[in-house]
Amino acid sequence: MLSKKKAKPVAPIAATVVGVVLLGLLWVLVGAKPNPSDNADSPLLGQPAPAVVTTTLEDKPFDLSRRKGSWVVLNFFNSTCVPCRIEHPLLLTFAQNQLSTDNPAEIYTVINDDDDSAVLAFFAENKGDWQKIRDNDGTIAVAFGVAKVPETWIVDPNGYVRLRIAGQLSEGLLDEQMSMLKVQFGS
Amino acid sequence: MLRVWNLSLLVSTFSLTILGTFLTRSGVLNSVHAFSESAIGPWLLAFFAIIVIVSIGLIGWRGDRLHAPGSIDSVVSRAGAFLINNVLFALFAFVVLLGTVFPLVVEALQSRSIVVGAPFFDQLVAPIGIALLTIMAIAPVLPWRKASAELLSTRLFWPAWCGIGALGISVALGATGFMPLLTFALGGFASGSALRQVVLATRKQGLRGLVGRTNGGMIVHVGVILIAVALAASNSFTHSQELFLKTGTPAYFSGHSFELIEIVEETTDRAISVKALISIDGGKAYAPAITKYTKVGMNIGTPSVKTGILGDIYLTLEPPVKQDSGEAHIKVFIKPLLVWLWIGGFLMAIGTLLAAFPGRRRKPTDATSALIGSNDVE
Amino acid sequence: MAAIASALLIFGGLRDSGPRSQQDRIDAITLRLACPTCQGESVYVSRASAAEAIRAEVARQVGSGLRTDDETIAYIEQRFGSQVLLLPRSSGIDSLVWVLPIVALICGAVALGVVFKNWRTADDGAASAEDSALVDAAMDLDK
Repeated sequence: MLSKKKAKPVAPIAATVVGVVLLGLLWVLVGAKPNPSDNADSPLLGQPAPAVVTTTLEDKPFDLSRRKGSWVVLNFFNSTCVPCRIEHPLLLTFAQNQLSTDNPAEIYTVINDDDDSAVLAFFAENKGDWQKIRDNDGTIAVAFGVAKVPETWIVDPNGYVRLRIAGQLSEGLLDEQMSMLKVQFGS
Repeated sequence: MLRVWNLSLLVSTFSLTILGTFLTRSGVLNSVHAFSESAIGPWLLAFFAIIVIVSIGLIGWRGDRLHAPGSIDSVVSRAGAFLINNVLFALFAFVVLLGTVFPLVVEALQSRSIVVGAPFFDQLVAPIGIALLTIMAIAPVLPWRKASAELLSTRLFWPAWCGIGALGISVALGATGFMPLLTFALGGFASGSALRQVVLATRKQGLRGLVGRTNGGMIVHVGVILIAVALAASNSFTHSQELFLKTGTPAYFSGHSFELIEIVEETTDRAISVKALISIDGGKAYAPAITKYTKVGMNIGTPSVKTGILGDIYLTLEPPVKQDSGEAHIKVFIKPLLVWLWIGGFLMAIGTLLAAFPGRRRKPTDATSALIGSNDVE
Repeated sequence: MAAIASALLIFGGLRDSGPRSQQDRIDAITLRLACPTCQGESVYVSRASAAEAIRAEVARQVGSGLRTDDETIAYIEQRFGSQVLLLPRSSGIDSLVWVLPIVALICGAVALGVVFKNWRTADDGAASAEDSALVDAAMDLDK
């Protein structure tokens, strides 16, 4: 019988290395924790808001810089987007509550890729008497970095961006955040 | 020889198939967190984990008992080329796996979403493709054991000139860029090698020379080369232009004329579709469209494609479309040689069928080392 | 032959394909941006509304001539986040996606080299001491 040369133990070493890598991958994937916070990050937070110069649905001019002195809430909206329709009653409640504060926030709906007529029809049916402003070639959306609707932004009376909520609003969230911001940044 | 390597490749193939099923079925690719919401995701992941643990465990524990004598004598041999080809394809699979899984890992670790898009795969697969083309060019002329430089240079003479010819034609036609030109040159070289084998076999055996593992394999090679060339051409040389068309006035781009005939609107109960009928080069009308699905409210653009031997002309209609204005804003994409991707695939299928037929077999009474008629020609 | 091939390659590779028009610049930039509402499509290819808006913005910036290609991409990335880059950055954890294939290539090449070298030096055909003893024993038995 011919002598057998001792082969180097390649298989166990290679198997261990591959096994460790794969187990690490599995562990990472299974253990991923969803991001709990509602408030999204943005490089615009704490910066002056981008210029917003456009027209409202009533064909009147709108300029964000001329709204200084009030808190401004911008809600990016599309009449066919389901979360936008679901959160609409919360916006109505918010608008109502603001009327009883001493510096009520102004709400503006920024129309994102939608027909004027569809938006008018939606608001006729679901109420909401604040101004709706046009964003025809998406300039405002790009300036704020809004890709998906709904998104809600809050701008303070000095024109600085203070909050970004990406996604559907949850109950009471907007009221709570607005009160916190008013306390933090004075009226 | 190489039994543990073969076994590992088999095990990886099966595991990756299950991993692919898991990735698409669980919704993980949309978001890492979608995984826990899906009903089937955890089951598939568990199945994948069991397969991987058992196979890797077995290979690690008993793999060395499979060790068989035998070795590949020299790198410059057909067996050596096959092994290098193996490693290249394994690397290709690794790059695709990494690109697919990486956004998931980053999202799981850092909660931000990144995209690994088509350019990543293009940039990394291109060098691997070039290496594969090079091996495809040399391997058909390699004997199974060792080859000498003299043998190689004799057999590769005409294929090399095919490569240079292909390079010359591409440069003359105006192609620029190092990578695409290298791809065309190597493509010419490799097809020269493949065709040399087929030509020599048919000379010796007539039509029977087209059949059998080796010759069918050469036709598959030609199919792969066509795919590589089509990919290189359409990725590097696509150009596009936006055109504003008015009915009755043709516009010109890249040697073709585009004329708007009319804009039609079609309404069904599910959708309203606005189509622009555009005649290319005065011929048949192509109709890119924008469709608005009334319930969902989304606008979906539908392109229209004219396929040709030299390239595809791809038309899209840009919003907003004013119906009765007689004007259309379109975008034209010219993608060279795209149809050859399909022709190459078709050739691969034909080559596979040809390879399935038996070629000339060794006579049972010949010595085992005798040359078989069709396989080692010259 | 090698000389002709290299000459053609160098000539073709370095040849200028003409001056870049504004549309070419816009195409080049949008090919590097990912549409944020699509699954990995570039802004160049996608017809979604977010992609249209980004294309319009890129066209505006290219038209104004104030920014280079990289600066325009940085501007859009700043607004939308890393999800809008079609190719991961080459810094931080993202660079792993470029580094790991190179590492894999080196591992593969080294493994191939080692394996081929082992095969070449494995069997030199000489008998081992054990084998010689076995043969001697057999020959003795024969006697």
